[in-house]
Amino acid sequence: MSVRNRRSVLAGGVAALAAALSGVRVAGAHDGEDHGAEGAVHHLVTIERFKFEPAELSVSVGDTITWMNADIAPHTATAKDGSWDTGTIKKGEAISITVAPGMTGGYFCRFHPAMKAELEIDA
Amino acid sequence: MKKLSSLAAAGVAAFLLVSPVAAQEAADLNDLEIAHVAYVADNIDIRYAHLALAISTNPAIHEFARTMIRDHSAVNDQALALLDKLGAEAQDNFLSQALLENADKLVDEMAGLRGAAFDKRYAENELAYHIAVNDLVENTFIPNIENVEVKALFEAGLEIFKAHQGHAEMMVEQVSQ
Repeated sequence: MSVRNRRSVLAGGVAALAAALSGVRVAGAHDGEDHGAEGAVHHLVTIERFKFEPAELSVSVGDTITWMNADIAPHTATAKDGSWDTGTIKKGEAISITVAPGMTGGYFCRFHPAMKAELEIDA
Repeated sequence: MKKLSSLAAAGVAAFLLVSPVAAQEAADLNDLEIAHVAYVADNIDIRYAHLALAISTNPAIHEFARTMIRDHSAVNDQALALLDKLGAEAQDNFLSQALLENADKLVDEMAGLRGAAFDKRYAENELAYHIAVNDLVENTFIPNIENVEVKALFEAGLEIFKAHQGHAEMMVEQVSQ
């Protein structure tokens, strides 16, 4: 596992997430992405009503993806091939992973297998 | 799908145990009685899940059962927190009692099964149970709940239980193969 996990416990919602990630500067309204100093981009995936939003995401190696769970039910984001896994993300929590080579492809929620999404790594 | 809908009909009948009269009485429950029914219904599903973890050797059944325990516990935690915030206490009622009575019988029945027979019975009951509870929550409880926060919690709960219903359908298909 070459991914790096970071767990942020959030009191409430996206505003708190933005505060928790200060220093990483989250998502401007323009395109849902934030370009850091070294060109790495921070992506936010919201889990709400049993859906990953956005369900399809283009990323580059070195970018960070944060999954934030707005549901009462705990979820995970887990690679279909098992190569990476956020672990349990409880209500109001967020977990970040730095994109490593090979993370491209489908992922799902281990607890609710009907929840599916896709990562695409840009060359 | 025919099989699923006949299962559903059987589940609703078994679940409500009874007559249109009781269905009407369910619509007359107050918010605190409705909260009690939901809390009991969550705990019954948690009980079925613990039975499955004890009896089944099927990894997919275990995974499903752990999800039931995790999610229904999360909903109950939210419900208790909300009741606490409102300074209220859930009220026992005829429907909670009927649910518990029915669950006792089902636990006795399922506890006597082993192997594939248990897995099939558990998965089918999970599907029937979620269909029945979802019908009750969506069509009887949510339209009758007065408190806005309680209603919102039930709407969020329904979302979860519908996902479980879909998951249970997958489980039924899997163990029937």
